[in-house]
Amino acid sequence: MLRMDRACLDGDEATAFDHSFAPGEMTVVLGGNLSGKTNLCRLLAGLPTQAHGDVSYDEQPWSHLPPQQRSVAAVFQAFVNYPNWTVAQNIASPLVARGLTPEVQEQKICALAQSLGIGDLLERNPDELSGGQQQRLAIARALAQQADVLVLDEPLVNLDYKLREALVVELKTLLAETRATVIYTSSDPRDAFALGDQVLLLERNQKLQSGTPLQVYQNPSNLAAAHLMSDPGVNLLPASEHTERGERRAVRPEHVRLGAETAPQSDTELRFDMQVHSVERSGDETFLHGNVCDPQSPQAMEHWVVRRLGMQPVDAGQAVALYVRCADILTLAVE
Amino acid sequence: MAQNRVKDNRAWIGVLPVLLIVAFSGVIPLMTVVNYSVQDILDFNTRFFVGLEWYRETLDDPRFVDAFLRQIGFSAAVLIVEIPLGIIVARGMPTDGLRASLLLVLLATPLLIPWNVVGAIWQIYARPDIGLLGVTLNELGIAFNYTSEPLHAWLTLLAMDIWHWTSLVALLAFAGLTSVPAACYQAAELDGASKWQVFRFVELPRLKGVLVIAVLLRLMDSFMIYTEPFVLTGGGPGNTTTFLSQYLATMAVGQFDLGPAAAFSIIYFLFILLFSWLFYTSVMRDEDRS
Amino acid sequence: MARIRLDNVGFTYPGADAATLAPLSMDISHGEAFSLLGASGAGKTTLLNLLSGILQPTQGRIFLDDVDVTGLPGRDRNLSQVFQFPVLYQSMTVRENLAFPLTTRGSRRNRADIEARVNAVADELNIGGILKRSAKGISLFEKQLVAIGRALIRPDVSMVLLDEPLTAVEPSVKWRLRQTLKQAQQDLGVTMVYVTHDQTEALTFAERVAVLANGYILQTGTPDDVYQNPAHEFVGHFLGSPGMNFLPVADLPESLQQRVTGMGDPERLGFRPENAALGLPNTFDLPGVVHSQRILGTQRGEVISMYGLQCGAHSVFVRSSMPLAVGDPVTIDLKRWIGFRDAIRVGRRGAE
Repeated sequence: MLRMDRACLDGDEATAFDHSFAPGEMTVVLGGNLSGKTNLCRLLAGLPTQAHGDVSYDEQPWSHLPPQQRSVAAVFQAFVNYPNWTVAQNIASPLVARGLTPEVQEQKICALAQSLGIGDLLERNPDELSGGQQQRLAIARALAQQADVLVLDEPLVNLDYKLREALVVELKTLLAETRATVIYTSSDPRDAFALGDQVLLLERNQKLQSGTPLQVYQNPSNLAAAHLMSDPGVNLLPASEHTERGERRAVRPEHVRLGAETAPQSDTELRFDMQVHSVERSGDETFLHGNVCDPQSPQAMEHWVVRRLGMQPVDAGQAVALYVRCADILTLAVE
Repeated sequence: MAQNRVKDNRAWIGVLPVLLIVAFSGVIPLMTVVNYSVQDILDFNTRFFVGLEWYRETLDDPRFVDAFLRQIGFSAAVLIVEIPLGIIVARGMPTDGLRASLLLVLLATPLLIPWNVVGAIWQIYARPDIGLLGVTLNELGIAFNYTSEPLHAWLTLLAMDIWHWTSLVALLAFAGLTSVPAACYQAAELDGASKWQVFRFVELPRLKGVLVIAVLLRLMDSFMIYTEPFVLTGGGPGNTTTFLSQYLATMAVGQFDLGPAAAFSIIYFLFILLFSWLFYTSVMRDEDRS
Repeated sequence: MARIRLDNVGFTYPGADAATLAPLSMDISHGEAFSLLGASGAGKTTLLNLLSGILQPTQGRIFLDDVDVTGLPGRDRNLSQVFQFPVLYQSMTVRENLAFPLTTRGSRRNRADIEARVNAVADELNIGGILKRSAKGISLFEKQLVAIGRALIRPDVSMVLLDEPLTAVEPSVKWRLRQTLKQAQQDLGVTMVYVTHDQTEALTFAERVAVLANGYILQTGTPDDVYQNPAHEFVGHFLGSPGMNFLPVADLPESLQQRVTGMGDPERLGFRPENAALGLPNTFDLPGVVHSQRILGTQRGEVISMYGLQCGAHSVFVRSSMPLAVGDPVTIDLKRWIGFRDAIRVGRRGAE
């Protein structure tokens, strides 16, 4: 099992935390910009970083081992391949280092290239590949190392959305076959749901929460955790909705229902009125942006986003009635 | 990647050779000159400390003041012509294709010629008896003779320097112009901007950086000009084209007045430094503000 | 503003075998918000450059308000453009940047008129507070707003071309810029052509969308139309995340094939992940096995997932609240589908 003890991602002792990564599973590390994701990856891989802390794998301390002596492979945002080697040579580089016979190497190269959809490109040079293919190559090379730990730092962030969609599904299948402990960082909660057996939420170099994606989604430990695990962020109920000090009530954008959809059930639902500012349509979903007022104190206004399935017939400037199930309202600590 | 920086002072060891080279090639000779400038050296064993005497003498020397004013006039004339001319040449350059490569080679040619050869070329070229330029001008009825007419000597020197160095400005400006995104030209065209406005508002702001470098290079270089006028006019007729460096050489090498020459050098050096600094800070000031 | 009409306009690079843009005809009305959607290399930029006059068509004619402008350079078409990255005059203030197009080309406008117009556009875009700032000293978001403002400043502009204007803007504020842009388009009634590879931008912004691929316009229609009734398989695949599922009719169970015959005799059926339902084995006609699951969230307490299913040799995605695990057998009910033959829509079935 991969463990971090007293990990300080920014070098400040106050943020130190412990974490054990579930063996053989994929942990999606979710965090925004500057949350410490990349430092965490570099700490695990043994690369120079301001982060420090004890890293161990199966009770074996790793902290003083250089990257080469750790059983860890890494893929970073930027596509890093050996530019003057062919695709096959790139994939082979870790195999050569392991001293395998050419026949075994050949087999492994073909199998890996095939599973990542670059089987036809083995003789090309990396600069003849598209961005998506280059990143697949980087992933193939990392997989060829057969390391116990695989670190993927936002590997798909530079690719366009159709390609991401396809690669996320492929990655999930491919990584399920390796028995490696996978750490995958992202800022997109959809990645957490699509890939993660576990999630670890980071904010400002601190651990917010960890668990299965669904657990974290259903029971966020505080407002920041709820925001991170929500796309777009959660909507705050107007402040006068009485709560304990240091707490706010919030609702996820997809849990807000438009009045026109079905008849309201007044006993289990709350009603809000929204002035719609803008409507965004992605085809399968509609996002309504607008302001929601508290009927008791109209100056307490919150910006809300409502996320509904399909193409909703709502226009900017319209006033709409919104309904929220009481069971969907989250009561969250505000740090 | 600043956040991943590791504290490690070993890098200083890597810089050490450079520090040593700079010390031996720059700092130590300069200090020697400073040392000379405050002493009266009669021979290698007899020397007196004279304080700032040589500095006072140099600044009071009418020949120094004349040479200094000539120098400023020359540098100013060089900049006034070469900078706009270089920009005009750069703007006229095609951006790609065989023609562009050929023109770039052609432009670079004067820069590759040794300075004394440049002087010699123009010395012959402008001679009123056998030079192509000199003879042609005289044929046209202009009594051109740079060896006797101070104005003609000046114009010849300027023409030579412009021929020699405008290419540098043009190459720098060309490099600056190629970095202007195509979208900027397109936007200006759609906005209805005139050619002048395109230059003034699209190109010039983006050329600023390279132009500052071009001006500094040409300023410092023209201020130190020695070889070409030495070969072309030898400082004459009279002293009319004797610039600072030539006067300095006469003093230090010809008359072996080491003390005054050293003081002269220091003053000279400080002037160039001051000029460059004043220019750079005044141009870059509004850059920092934004 | 103007009506834009393309009459059989095509473009082929000299010496190239295939047309970069196949001949197309198109009509964009006065004050319309029009969007060109396609992946990179689809021909969007070529079409945009034909409109802006950077390129001239190798065939066909372009009309602005029935005036033939084919062959005219961009400056004589009285149009403006917003680029991927904010293009500003760095040495000017924001106000000077906005006013610039009003002061060029012998615009016979007096200072008061210019002042009034700059203030009006600045108000529309909510940048009144930064008018005095240097164009260099503002954020990327503000810079792009100013670039948009400059494109809108001439009241008589024939059309505004937008070339992926949100590329440089941070994701979290993109919607604000989209909203401002759409509002300005409606308020000022300007004809706008918006080029993008992002479906959300295209569907949000436009009254009509044209989907391009490989130099061809595959479909032009309202956002609702192109999403719900793709005329071409690529349109179905490109819009939506994940896109439309496709199954060859020949691989479908006998009973389903019978339901399909007579509907234009399609070769492939396309259906969206949200337009199918899952049931236990033997409930519906089409069997499949779960191969992947992505949780989307909860709805009324139930977990909704996007299931990847293996149907014979094909993989499809279906959105469902049924609790399933990888390896579970299911059956699929197609509630709404479209039939394609040679990738072209030939028929459809399902709730309107």
